[in-house]
Amino acid sequence: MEHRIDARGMKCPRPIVELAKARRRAAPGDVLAIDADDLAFASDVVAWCEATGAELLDLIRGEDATHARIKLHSGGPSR
Amino acid sequence: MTAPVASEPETGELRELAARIAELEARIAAAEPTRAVSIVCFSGEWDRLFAAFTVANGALAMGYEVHLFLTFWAAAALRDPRAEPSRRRSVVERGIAAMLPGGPRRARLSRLHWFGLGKRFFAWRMRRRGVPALEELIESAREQGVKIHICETTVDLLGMVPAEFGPLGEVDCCGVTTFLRDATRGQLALFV
Repeated sequence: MEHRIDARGMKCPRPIVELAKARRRAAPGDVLAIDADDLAFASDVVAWCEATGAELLDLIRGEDATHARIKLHSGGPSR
Repeated sequence: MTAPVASEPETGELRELAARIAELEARIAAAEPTRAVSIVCFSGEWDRLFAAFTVANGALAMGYEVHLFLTFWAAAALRDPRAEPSRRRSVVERGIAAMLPGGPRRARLSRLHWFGLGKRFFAWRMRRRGVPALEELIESAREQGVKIHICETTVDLLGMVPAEFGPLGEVDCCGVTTFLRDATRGQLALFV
């Protein structure tokens, strides 16, 4: 299942907090698709994936927003 | 653990080995740091609290256990001034309470406060740019299960009661030993 998150207009740490909230609701194997226009997001999403054991499928820096698709795996820190 | 069928001396050796492995496993488990971040919040200034709660939110979102130790001015700034004290306060305690900032909304900027004008300007600018407000960060940290500890000495010295920290959720009053235990067990400790 794919969960879409629109984090445009949100500044650090809100996009990452939104990702964490979505991760708590989602199941392993689910994909989180997020758009964010915070400039820190492209770097922060990579760090978040490393910390939580999630897999970054795509990271596309667009004109007005960064789009990321993340696959959740079982394991990693508790939610 | 099932040991393979073996002759007498070998069974004894295996048992000894199994015991040694179990001991080593226990040692490794104890040596591995917990995924935890401990932050001492000492400053009660709005911008510094903002920094502490930003880090706390990020760490919680990354799946870390987060312990916030509120001491002195941070404890004073984060109490709820409207909370009903559970006991009658002395004159001195009421005097101290009147001089302390009441709640995060009243906290001052560490620089460019300008009698509150600077703070209002930054709050307005942050709102416009989608930066979360301090109150929002506190609420978000609470939702994500932050663990709040309040310095017992501060509570006593400033004449506060734990009930005043109601808006922060469940808090526990502790001393420096609890902080040191949690901080050394974790991977990161910060002082703000």
